[in-house]
Amino acid sequence: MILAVENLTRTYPSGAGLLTVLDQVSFQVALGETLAVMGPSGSGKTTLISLCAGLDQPSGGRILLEDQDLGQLSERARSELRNRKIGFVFQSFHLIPTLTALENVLVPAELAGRFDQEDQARAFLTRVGLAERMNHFPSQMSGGEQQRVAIARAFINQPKIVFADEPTGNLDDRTSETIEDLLFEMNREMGTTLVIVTHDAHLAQKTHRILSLRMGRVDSESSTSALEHSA
Amino acid sequence: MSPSEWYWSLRMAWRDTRGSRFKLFFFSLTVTLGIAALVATSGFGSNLQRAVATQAKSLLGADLVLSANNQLPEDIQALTQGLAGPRSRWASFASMAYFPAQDQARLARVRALEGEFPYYGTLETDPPQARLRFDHEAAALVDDGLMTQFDLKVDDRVKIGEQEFVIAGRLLKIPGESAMASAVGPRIYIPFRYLDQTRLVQFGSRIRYATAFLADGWDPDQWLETHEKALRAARVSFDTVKIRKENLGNAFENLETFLSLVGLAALVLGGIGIASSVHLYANRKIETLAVLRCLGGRTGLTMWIPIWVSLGMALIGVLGGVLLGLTIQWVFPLLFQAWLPVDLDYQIDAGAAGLVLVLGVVLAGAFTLLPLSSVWFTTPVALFRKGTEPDVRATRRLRRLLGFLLIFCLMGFIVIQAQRPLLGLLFGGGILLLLALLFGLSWLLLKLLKRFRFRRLPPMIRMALANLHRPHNQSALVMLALGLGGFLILNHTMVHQSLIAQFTRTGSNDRPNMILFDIQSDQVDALQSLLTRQTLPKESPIPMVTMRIQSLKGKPIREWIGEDESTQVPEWAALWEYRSTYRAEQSDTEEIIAGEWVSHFSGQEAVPLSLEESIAETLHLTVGDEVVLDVQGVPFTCRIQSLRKVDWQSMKPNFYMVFPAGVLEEAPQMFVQAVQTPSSQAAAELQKSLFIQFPNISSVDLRLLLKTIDDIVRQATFAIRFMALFFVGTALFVLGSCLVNSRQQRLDELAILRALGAHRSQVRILTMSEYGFLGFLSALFASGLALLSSYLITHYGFRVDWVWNPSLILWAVLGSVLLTTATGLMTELGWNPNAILERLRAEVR
Repeated sequence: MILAVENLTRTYPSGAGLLTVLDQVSFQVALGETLAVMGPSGSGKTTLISLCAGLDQPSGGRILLEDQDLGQLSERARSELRNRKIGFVFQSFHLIPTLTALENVLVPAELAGRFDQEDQARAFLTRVGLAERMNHFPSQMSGGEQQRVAIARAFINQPKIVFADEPTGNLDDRTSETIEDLLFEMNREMGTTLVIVTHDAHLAQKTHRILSLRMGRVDSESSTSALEHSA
Repeated sequence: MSPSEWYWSLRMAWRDTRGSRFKLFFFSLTVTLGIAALVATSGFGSNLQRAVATQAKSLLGADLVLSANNQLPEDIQALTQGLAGPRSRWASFASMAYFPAQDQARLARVRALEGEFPYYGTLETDPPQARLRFDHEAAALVDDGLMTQFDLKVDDRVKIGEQEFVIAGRLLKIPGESAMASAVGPRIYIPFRYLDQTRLVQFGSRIRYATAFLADGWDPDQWLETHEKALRAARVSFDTVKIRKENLGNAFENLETFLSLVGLAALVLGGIGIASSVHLYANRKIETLAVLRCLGGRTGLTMWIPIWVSLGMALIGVLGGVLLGLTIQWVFPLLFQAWLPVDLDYQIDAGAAGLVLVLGVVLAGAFTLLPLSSVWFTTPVALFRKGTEPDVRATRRLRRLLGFLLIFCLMGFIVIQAQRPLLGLLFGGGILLLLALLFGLSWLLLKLLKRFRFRRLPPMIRMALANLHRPHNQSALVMLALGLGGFLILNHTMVHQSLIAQFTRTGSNDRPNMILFDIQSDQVDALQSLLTRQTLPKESPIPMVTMRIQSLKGKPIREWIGEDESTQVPEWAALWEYRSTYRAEQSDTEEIIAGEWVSHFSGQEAVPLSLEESIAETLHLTVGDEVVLDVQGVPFTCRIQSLRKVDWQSMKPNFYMVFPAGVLEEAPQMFVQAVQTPSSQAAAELQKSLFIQFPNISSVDLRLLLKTIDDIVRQATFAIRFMALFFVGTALFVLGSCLVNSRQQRLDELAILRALGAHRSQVRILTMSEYGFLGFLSALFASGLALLSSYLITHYGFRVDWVWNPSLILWAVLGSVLLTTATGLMTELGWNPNAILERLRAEVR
């Protein structure tokens, strides 16, 4: 099991007392599995992904990533864990505007102290179809191209798990389709686990399993036809 | 952090500046002018100190100089008898100098010199050996300016009193005297042995005698320590190299302090400017920092990126300031040389510049670090949920810590610069307090403006006014910086104008404009005949009798001397040789404020005396008190009968002590007389006639005096105006930074307005009005401060009537508006007002 979430609770102080955003959430994700987290706005999807990636601290419960309890790790250890084992793909791409496509892809490797990954980064960018755009800045690229760079960046450190937050939310249908295919292909090739937060039922159906959240609780958990295909 | 992490953070910081390097460079310039002023000031200060140290002896020209109003008393001469080494003596006095070839006369400071003085430094003349002619003929050295003014040449003649001298050369430089001193009173040197032949040494002549010693094996300061009491008792003044150096050092320190104050205030304003730019820069980096945190970067690592950028900005700004400051050091000697009694040579003080560089980077760095506190605890969750705030409590704690660090650095900077901790702390505290107060005032002015709705104004003007409150606009800061620069310029111009107006009024056509003094009793009648012949309106000659105070309220005057002015009398007032008058009538420039005026007195009891109010206060006297005056050897017991308030600004002869008629008529006396000359030609004609008939009578032409004062004040204020440019420059950089920062927002707003149907002309009105208002408010701020400050300075400092010229304010407003509008419009260069859709689409993307 790559990720195990046990009785996860997250509360925030608010004007009317404590606001419970996640309430006793539990689930597991196996190595190489793909999981879609769905639910209406305010159901706790984003909070869940933040906690699973070690970006936030739970109010209760545990998150085990490769059997390491994230709640027990220091800020430094969690940063290192994110760098080595986790990849991110965001809805708004979140490339660093002052870096070229190649430099953006290299950032996680450089943060890990590896400054000899340029060939690898070039190969990833070529793999995502941006061989001709390596030295372009984000502002010189389309949304689809920016998301490809983000995907290459997510995989450069060969993470164990990739979290994708609405990865096609800002793209048109045609581009979305391409990006989804690319994401799943890369995931397969790298043997990575993929957790996607999405509203898009069509995208969710491409994953092995769908976890539905409602009011901060797990509403349902179901397998998809994709699981049957992969099996 | 590991070396690879340091390397990465630096590399990322360099990459991070892509596309905004020019902008960041521009922001960094906000501290440049302040640093430049400080480097220039400290370099100028060390050049001055070095000049004083190396030229210390030539400041005095000798090791010891004793001077008095008469020849040195015998007991003092006896004391100096055994002093080994050469000595020189001279007599200095004011006298008319008459140039026969030009048939013109001018008041000059004459020095009749005997001996080899100066022993240190040289009396620079043209030709260089001109002084040698003193040995074998009646030769004179004449001030270079005077020679040029009267088109005189070597071997022309000059007549001092009744003795004619051949001009041996031009007097170029006198050790220890500034060029400005000769502008006030041009110098003429003559041999001492011809002093008697001038026939100017007579009763009442205001001659100062001095003897200069070159110490051969004795220590002048030690000698002085032993004999100071005796010298004071004999009313002999003394000066040594050490005393001169100390006095000069204090004066220079004050000058340096003033210059540093300006530089420091400009630096603090620039610091606030750069901090506000970094604040905006940092806020734009929140997303980048959050992304890096997501990708596994620790706060302690990723925060180094904005820190490097900020420190880089600080370094560039400070480095630019140091280079500019070193360049400006060339200018300072030109600004101040005329006022300095030492020759300044330009030398780069690498130590001082290096110190400012290091301290400046630390201080500017502290300014730039403070705003980074707002992004220090940026959470990567912000990437998933917009508006997620960083840890508020931790941010507040860090901000407080960095705020303390900034104040600590600022105070440390000031203390190190001031070299005296207490002075530095007071100085720094004062600056911070003043700036905070002024910043509060400008903020208040803007707040007040916000309260008014201005419904009747056209919409574009209303919008321009509202734009002053746009977030990050820093309107209050721009107003403060520009206002302070304007204030410095306006204040000095207003004080200057008040002083000049005072003299202009004095020299107006219906009032006397020439004062004749040193008139002997037996010359009064003949002088009146001369003035009548020349049909010049005149006032009655006023008698003057010299006297000293013997005792006050029954206690000898020496026992009153002390520094506690609440119970004691300052030395100058106690030992002063008072020139008093007597008359039956009150003058029109005085009024009785206590007691009664006594016109005549012939009794045997104490003589009724009228005292001017300020000297009465200094001497702790009031109506009814007794004072014994020594009138040239005869003691007069007097009782204060009245106190007078005197209008000293009238430039008419006024007196501290006035006796009633019937008391001093038989005492040895001299006269002074005010005359009205209708033109400069008439004044010159009178001076010429006076010189021929009464060579001992000197005259002051108030027109000439007015011009001299105007020149001096103009020169003095030029230096201050130059320093004000540092403020104005800093203000423009801060304004430019704010405009660059808000450029995108402004252009977006303009594009929206254009899309909504605004004409290009309307958009232009909006833009120009906004910048114009900023300039207008700054000028208003500067004018308000300058009006208040110039009033206080002229009224309480110079004690002259305060005048203000509305057109000056109008010019200030116009200049300020033009400056801000031009700067504002420059930042909008390159905007295509027709490319509306492109702009809006770019905004969406």
